[in-house]
Amino acid sequence: MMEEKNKSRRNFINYLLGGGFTLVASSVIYPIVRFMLPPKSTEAEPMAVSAGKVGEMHLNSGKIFKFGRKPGLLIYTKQGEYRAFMATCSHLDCIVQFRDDSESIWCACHNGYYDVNGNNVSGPPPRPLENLDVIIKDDDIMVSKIT
Amino acid sequence: MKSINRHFNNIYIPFLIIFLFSSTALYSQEKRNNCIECHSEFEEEETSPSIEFKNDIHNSSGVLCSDCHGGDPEIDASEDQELAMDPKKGYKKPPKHNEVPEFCARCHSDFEYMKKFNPNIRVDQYENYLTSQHGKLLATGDNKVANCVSCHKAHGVKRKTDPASTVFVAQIPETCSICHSDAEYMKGYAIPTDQLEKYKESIHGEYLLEEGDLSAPACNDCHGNHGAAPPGIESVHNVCGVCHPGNSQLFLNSTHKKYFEEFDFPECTTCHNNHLIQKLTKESLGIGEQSVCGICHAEGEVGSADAVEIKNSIENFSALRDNCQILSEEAERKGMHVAEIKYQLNNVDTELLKARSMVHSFSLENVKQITGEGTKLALDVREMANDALKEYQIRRVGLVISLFFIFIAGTALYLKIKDIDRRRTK
Repeated sequence: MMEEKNKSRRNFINYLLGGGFTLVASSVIYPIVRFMLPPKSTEAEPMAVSAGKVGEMHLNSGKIFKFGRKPGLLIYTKQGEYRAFMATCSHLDCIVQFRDDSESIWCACHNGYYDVNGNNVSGPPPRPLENLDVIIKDDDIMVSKIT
Repeated sequence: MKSINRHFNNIYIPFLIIFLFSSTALYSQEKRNNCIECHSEFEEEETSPSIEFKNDIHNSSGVLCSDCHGGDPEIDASEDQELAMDPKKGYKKPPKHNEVPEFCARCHSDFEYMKKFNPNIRVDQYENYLTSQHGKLLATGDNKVANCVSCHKAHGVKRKTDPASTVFVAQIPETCSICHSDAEYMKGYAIPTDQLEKYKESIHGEYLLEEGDLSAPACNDCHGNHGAAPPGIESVHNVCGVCHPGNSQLFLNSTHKKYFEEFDFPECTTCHNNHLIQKLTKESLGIGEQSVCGICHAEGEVGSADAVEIKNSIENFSALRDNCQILSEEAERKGMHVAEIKYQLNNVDTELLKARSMVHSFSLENVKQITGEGTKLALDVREMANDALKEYQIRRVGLVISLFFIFIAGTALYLKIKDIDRRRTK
């Protein structure tokens, strides 16, 4: 009777150890498997980035900044306002640039023009540029997607 | 106070009732249009004037039948038809085909009258029409050519911004094709009738009709609307240049402009076609069978070597760019951080588009300059993508090595425990 009780207690401990060991092994193997398999989703696109510092741009100028994997265009207008857009042309996705001589945004690929509000005004671009929000936070010019 | 109230009740209330009745009667008289009421009794088809006019822009703007046709709409014609349509009351019979433009122009060329509907409204349609091919032929007595109602309809006229309008941008190709695709109707004009068919296969047609991009050009963007005419050979670059100013300018400054003029080639359409403008492929360059350069430059002739070089230069750059994309996508699939690679790839794409555009300068040197700069960028991107893939391999090898050591350690631990157990049992 006593022998049987001891046997069942040993079995119980063995099961407990076996289960525990399986769980420990899984916690090591699972991250390894996940590491080996490619992720289902790609990197998340940022919703906001810092496009530069206040004071580093002169009036009537523009600069390209990184908005995740796409380029953005920050403009400091003659009137002292910051404006930001995605810098990909609505025609064929070329990178646009600011032109201080005509105070407009220009696409060099097919000579498309946008005004400083991002509206397509001449050339092939069929639509305006994607507008971005600009918020000045301390010294940072924060640019974010409009949701 | 009571006497004032009585005074008010006795005088003002009857006055108010009379005023309300008379203004209602006046209002209903103002809006009375007996033409519609009478014509509706015998016109049943959807396309009949009295039915179509209900949804006409003129009707919704308060323009009555009598404003165009004269007569007196306030007279109930069921009682006295002759009086309602009395020439003495200005009634005119519907205009003949050749009279329509002038008929519409009575109002549409009168800015004083039209500006009350829209202060920015155009009033040059009739003037333009007279310069159009349609207008010129109409003046010679050809009554088959289009007049205002051929495109706008007569009694179902809608704003051009209304998607149901026959002149809404996406409807224009079909509207023009009513006549221009009818081979029987167009017999005698010596122009093709396959424009719509070709336009539908073109890049412009694909964007407008399939993708719903209303900025894509329809017939009127190249030919004009009221002044519709085929662009002359010397003005093709201007027409295309409205939307493609960069390429147009490059062409104008190129050596080819002079030769195209000399041989009477219709500029842009020589290579790109007119109605069947399609997206160019890599076979379009060089001097192969499908190449547009090969139209003029046979193998071994002047310019053929440059044409081949331009093609090779762009093709090699394009292949390198595609290779960059494949590598970056592979790195992305493997979970590597590729934001910077993708960002730089945008610059490569821009250079490739610039190089393709620069073909319009017909200068090997200019094209090579851009492909050279683009190739440098692309090589950097390829190196970054290869580095990402190498990093992935290093991580995998590192993982295998660390797993090997973990396995060794685990096995050693197991053997050690076994050894301890064996010693205890001894």
